[in-house]
Amino acid sequence: MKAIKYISMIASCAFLLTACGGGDKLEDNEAVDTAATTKSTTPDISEEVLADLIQSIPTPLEMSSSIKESGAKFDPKILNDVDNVEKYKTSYKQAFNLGVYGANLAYINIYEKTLSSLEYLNAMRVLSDNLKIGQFFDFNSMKRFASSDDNIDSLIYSSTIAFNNMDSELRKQKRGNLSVLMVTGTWLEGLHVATQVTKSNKNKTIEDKIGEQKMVLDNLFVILDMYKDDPYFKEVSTEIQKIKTEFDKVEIKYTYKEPESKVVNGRLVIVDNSTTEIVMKPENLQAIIKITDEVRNKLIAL
Amino acid sequence: MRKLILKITGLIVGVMFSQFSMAQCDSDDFLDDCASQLETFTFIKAFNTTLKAGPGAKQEVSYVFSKGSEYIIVACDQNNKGGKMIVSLFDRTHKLVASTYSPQMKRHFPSLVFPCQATGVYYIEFKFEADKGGCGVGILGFDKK
Repeated sequence: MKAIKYISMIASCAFLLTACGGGDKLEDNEAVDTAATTKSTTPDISEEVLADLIQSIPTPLEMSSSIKESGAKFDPKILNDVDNVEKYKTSYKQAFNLGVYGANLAYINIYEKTLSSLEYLNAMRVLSDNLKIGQFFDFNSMKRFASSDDNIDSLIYSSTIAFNNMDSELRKQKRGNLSVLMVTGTWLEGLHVATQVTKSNKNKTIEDKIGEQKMVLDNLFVILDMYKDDPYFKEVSTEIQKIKTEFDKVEIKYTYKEPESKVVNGRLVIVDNSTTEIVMKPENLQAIIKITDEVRNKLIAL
Repeated sequence: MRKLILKITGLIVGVMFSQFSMAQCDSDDFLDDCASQLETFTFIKAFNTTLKAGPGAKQEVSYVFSKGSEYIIVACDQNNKGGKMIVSLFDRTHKLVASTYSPQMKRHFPSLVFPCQATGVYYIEFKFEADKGGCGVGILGFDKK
């Protein structure tokens, strides 16, 4: 009998110790609507597949980097106003616009506009706190990094880590629906920035980057479609479908050739001999620019 | 009975120890150390990999790579069990593009650099040498050419 008690005691201690290492418990919060604390309905695919689809969506840093590389000037007018943060009262809107502001922050950081970074970091902190994932947002460190142009790489690194951690925490908490909205907001805003830039700066590289989004959109649409029974998702999905209709007219030609590898300074470098070509008519691009602006403006005001 | 108690205690301690070992692999310090190998590349994502030993043990993730961008995948592992982590890159049709382990050279590379010329979905596979288990992190970064 003593032995059973002893084993039970050890097992209890072990359980308590290991349980402490788990994710933070989601607490009730009256300020947050039901959707924030209610776990999402399980989609038809496994969590692993959902996680993979979500993380396959490229970071807005890449698009912003291409925009800067094209010689386009920084334009703060195309960003979502930080004052709008007060309007986002539901967890769905908060998650979507956390993604939108995340894309804005990537654009700001790539252009090293550290003063604007602080405003956007603050807006993101408000939204992430409301969503109960603010613990991943080390605002003080980021504020310190944003105070000097020399620390821009650290700011990009820490904000990217924070963003990725918030996304994976939402999925860990079985709130994958919010993670999907976050990544949708990020992608849409990244596309919006690129399409707005290309209106005043005609550049083939940026146009190709916009055309390439057809592939990303296909993945994103699969994810959004999983939650189509939810009215908010249905609305988002209907709007994104309008963009998809235009992207369906874009053609991506792929030519495969065997890759090669070489060693350069101890690093394995691949020589990619395959190519893709984006075929997009000018009127198709204009239609994408127009519909992206309309959809994005509607969704950030929804 | 004493033997049984010792066995169960050992098992529980073992489980706890393995959990704490895995946690080290997820730690910020480990990630920061690995990320420092990016050098001039910009951090995109970290893929934590924890695999149990066994035939075919692997983890696969996908990512849309964009033409004109240069990517790097850095492989970092704790190497506790002597099996190094191997990162392999596959194209949209799952054809192998490259791997951090070259069987011809019998050499492990700490990273692979991929100047992408064809936009599309690519698959990144993580496994450990000789199907050994282990934990590690793969870091994806990018640079503009």
